Amino acid sequence: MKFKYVIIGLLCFALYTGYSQDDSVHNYRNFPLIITLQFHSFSMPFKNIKSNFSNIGIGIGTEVSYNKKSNGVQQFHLIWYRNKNMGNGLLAYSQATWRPSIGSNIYTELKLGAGYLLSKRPSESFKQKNGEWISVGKKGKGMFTIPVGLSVGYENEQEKTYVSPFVSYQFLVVTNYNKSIPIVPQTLIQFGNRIHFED
Amino acid sequence: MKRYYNHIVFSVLYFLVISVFSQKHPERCEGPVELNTSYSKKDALQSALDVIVEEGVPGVSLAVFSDEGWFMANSGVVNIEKRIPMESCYLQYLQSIAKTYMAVAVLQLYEQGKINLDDPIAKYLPSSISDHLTKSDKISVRMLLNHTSGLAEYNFSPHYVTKLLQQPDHVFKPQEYIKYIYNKALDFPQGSKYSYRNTNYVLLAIIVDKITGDHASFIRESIFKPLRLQHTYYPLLVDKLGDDQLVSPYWDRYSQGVIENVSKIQQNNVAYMVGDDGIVTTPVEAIIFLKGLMEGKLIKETTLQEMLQWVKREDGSLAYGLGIGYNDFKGFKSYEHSGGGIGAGAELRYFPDKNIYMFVGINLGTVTESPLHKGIAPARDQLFKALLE
Repeated sequence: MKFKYVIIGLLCFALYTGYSQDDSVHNYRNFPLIITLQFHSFSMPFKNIKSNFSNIGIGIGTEVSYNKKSNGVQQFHLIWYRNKNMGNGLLAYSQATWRPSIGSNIYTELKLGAGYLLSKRPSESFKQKNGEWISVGKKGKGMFTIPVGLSVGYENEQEKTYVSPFVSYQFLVVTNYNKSIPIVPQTLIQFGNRIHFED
Repeated sequence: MKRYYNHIVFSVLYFLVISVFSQKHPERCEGPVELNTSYSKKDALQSALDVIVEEGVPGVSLAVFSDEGWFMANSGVVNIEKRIPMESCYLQYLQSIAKTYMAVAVLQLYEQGKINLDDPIAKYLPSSISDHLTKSDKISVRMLLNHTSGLAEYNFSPHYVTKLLQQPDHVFKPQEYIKYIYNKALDFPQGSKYSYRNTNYVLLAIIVDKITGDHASFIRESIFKPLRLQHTYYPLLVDKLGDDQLVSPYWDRYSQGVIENVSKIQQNNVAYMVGDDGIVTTPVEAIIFLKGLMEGKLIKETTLQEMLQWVKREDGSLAYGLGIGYNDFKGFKSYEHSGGGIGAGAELRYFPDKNIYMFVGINLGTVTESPLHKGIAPARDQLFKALLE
């Protein structure tokens, strides 16, 4: 519950200060390596947050700037998570990211994008063929996904190779789960580092 | 030497006897009733069950009581992975059929003068709950029983559904279910129409808890015991009733015709549900319950007639009494309840015009749509046709 208020508070602060920041010297470099640790849950946003920490995953990604600054970028991510009760998943997604600075090298992010989730089943599954049940392993299903994210992070573009640690909360709207429940909610808590290598 | 030889022989015999009697299946499958193996409709019924399995249900179990006596039939498997055939001794999930048991318990308290069906539920519920329920001073116990309360459905809450699936080990307390609908507006004015809600029966369980101390214990003492139901369990104690006694439940998670064993979710879900679900039993004992109810072994005839006062659907057809439903199959009326869960489904019916009782249970989830369900409805019609013709 407190986590929700921290995120919402940071977001409001970002929205308030986002437009008032000055254009200081920028040394942004495209195509950093983004490495993330993921915590997945089949949950409504900001609900059941403890369950996220039972389901760990990893991700890699990168981003490219719209304007040679870091405040408007397009991100690309590929993540894998383990979820014992709901099935493991492989998610590829891209998000348009607005990244207002809130001073002292601290920034926030608002992200919206699209992706594709390949979600496996949690246990061995079976299909009937000629009257016999045949194992199909943990056969999964691919589903179109809309990820919406909030982040807060640190960056110092003046360093030659700079590392930008961040934490994100992603809400995934996963479509076509089954015929009775066409849309399901999932969440990701992400701890990551954006590594901008020296040119 | 001869004395030692006798000791060895007796020891071996003793070991063999112990080993034979510790094998569970043959003993359990004998059942408490004598079967009519030459039942006139056995081939037609077996054929209908086989069609259900051919259409993609792992296993199905049927019990029938009629003027010809008892008949049981099965088809398919109780567990796909181990290829164990379905048998009549396995415990089936009654799912929402448990509501009929809950209603009988309430009506027994009504007969004892401990509850008035037309009094508001605020009179019987703890104030910590009733204070958060809209119109709890206007909604009567009867409205809970016949689903005319207008209260919202707890399991429509996405937060509840996601928590159930993501955290199957979470122990839901009765009040926790009700919290999902705290302070929500009624779906319609109380008493104005029929709309089935699981919430109503969770509240009834809480009411009976308050009156008796423990509604589950009351149900066991006042229903299971007088009917001598030896294989009916409420609540489901997962540690006591393992996979060797319960049917293995399967779910088509993605509506693709591909099913997975969901024993953990199903067992825990059923274990923590109160009033609206939570009973497991054998097909025969399900019928013994309904037969006992109809024959006046549980409640008085006048109370039974009150139970069979039907509220109507919006199209004017008869829908539901007090914990029991009404239906019509080709001119034959049926008093019934069905149940569906993540990994199982069941129907318990009494056709009074024919004096036929039937129970059918499947180990495939029915709460979400699956292409495997398509063949069930026609096969069920074939089953009813065979029974009633």
